[in-house]
Amino acid sequence: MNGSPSEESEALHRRRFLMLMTGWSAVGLQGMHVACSPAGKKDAGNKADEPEAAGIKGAEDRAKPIVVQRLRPGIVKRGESLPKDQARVAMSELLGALAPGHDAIAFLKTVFEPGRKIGIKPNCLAGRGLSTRPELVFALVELLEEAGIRPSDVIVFERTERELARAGFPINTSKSGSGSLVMGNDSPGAGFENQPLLHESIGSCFCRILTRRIDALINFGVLKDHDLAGVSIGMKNLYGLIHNPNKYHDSGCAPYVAHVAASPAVRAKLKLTLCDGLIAQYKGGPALKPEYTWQAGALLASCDPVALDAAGTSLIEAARKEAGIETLEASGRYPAWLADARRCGLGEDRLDRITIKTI
Amino acid sequence: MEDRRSFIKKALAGCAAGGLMIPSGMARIDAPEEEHDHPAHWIEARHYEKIEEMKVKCTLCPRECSVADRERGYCGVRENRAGTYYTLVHSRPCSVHVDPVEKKPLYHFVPGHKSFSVATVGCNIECRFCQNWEISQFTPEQRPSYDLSPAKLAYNAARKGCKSIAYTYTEPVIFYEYMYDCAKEGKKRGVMSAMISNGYIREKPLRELIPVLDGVKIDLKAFTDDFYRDMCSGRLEPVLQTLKILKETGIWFEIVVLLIPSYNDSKKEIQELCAWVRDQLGANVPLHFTRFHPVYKVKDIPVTPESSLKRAYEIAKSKGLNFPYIGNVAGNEGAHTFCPHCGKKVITRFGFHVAKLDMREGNCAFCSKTLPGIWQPFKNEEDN
Repeated sequence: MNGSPSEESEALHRRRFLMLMTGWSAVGLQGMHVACSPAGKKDAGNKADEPEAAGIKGAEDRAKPIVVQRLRPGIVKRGESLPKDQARVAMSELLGALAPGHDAIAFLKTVFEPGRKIGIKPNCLAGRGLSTRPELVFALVELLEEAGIRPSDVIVFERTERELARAGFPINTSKSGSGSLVMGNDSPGAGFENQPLLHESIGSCFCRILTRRIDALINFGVLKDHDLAGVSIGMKNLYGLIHNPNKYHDSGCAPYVAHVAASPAVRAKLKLTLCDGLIAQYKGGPALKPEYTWQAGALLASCDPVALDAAGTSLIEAARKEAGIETLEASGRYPAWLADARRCGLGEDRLDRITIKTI
Repeated sequence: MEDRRSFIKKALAGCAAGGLMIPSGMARIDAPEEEHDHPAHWIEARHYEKIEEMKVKCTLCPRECSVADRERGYCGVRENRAGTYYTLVHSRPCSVHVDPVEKKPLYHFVPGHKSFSVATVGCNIECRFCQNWEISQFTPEQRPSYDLSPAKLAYNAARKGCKSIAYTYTEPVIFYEYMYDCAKEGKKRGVMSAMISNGYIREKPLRELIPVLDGVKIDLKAFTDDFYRDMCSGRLEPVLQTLKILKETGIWFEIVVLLIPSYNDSKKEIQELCAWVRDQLGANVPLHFTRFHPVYKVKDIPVTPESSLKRAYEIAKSKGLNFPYIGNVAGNEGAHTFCPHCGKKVITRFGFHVAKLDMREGNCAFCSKTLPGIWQPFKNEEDN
């Protein structure tokens, strides 16, 4: 080491400076801090995850992470697509609410530098009807382009090409095109690392798209109940980055979900978590069970992956109550990995310590 | 004289008949890429229960996974589709190879014969020291596979002069239906079947399977439940139960214990294990102690010292076991078979090679006493 700052930390300082100069609120700054410097957080088992307990002066005044939820109940019905212009407006409003001045482009510019490769990981397990909508993903790609990220620097990727195709994504594995690549971990040239990365309770080979082809990750899940994990919103979707997710479904997926998210491979690159809950499902997941869906019209965004999952879980709990069925909490299925994720320093799961900004 | 056209025609016909070209070398064949999602590959699983909300409960192994629609079991090769549970790996082996049966290892199972060895991806436990984790811990989409029906497999095994089919490398319990069907096809062609397994299977499927098998090798990972839980994500008791059932049914079986320094090689543990084998299974069950090499998630432990293997061997002898062996160590005396009656060496092995066989139809060539094992392959079922 020669003592000179790395390119990454230089970029971070520049970002922070710009944020301060543009007069971001303290809340916004803290929100960004969560997203942009996750590697600086304390790891699992460290008591510093409880700032007050650790005796850090002023820790109780720390600003809360922000989750933006855009609620338009009934904006789409089951089986319908969101028109392209509406998708664009929805994503713009959603991301804009994470930034002062409601400027989605400014927000994206702050998080993602031009020339960097961005990966977007939708959740396509359930096929069309309960997967991340392509129209939202491509609206995001458009916004990224306006923020200086070329579409050809964006890779939309899922576990398999089949899952992407079933969710309505056009597969594009050609390097010659100008559009974004849309590919699976099973696409030619993709695959997984040859050796497992061991971290806490997990030991997995991560997909090479994550480890070798992208600099930053946007996790774009769906809002749904999950038989074993309790919910699948954001962090559970990260199971699609590892070769052996089937090994991590015991004990309600806890603490495995947290440990996948906290692994260095993910933590260094996950910058933004989004959730498509236009049609959401409060029971019977992860597969589509139309009888348990509701037209939530919800979109969520946060730089804090734990806070987003906690906020999303509260929406599912409310829907379960309204449907007259046991809450996840009452049925013993409340995701314990949320608290594990907090303990790993990934973010905040306690709702009273999260700012949920409804637009 | 055959003209070129008829030669090509015959060659193509040979391929169409299912002729996989299996090289005689030791390297694993690289399987070709193929389309994995064709419904023809999905065969309904034989052991599961349908439960509410399109969920299923797998009843194949002690894990008894509860699997929601569109999810898979722990093994990664069985999927619930709208309340019906499918195996995704029937007729889809990822590894096909011809091995000496000693490699399994099975030492009392027609020594020196070639065994047509086959595996699909997947496993129902996860050993942190798995030697074949690059296939056992992956799913069908992540590894290329052959399209090899049971009939084609049996045909190839017979054509290659193999006296047995070994279901091996990964965990055959997870490709139960394929193993079962291959074993039945093998019998028609006079080819025996041997399951090389961790023994993690429930009683009902095991009892249904045993009649189509001829031999079994069980990996007994350790003799403590803690080891099974911490190192294998499994439990000890179901494996012991499997061993008792094998004993009860009379099928030939052998046991392997991979000794990992400081994890499962203490004197006390080996003594308890050997005593249990002697008391519950009998003194004639071959018990192989094999050498560990650092791999997968256990890379900070050295290879097993030969002294540990020898100590385990001596403990087994002192506990009254007649056929302890030492494996994965070249040139060790513990690789040979000694007649428990006269003490003479009756099978001399070098590595996986049988160098000398001093036996006559299952009897010691020196004292004529019968030794336990399967010494002759059975006859073709269709010849009977």
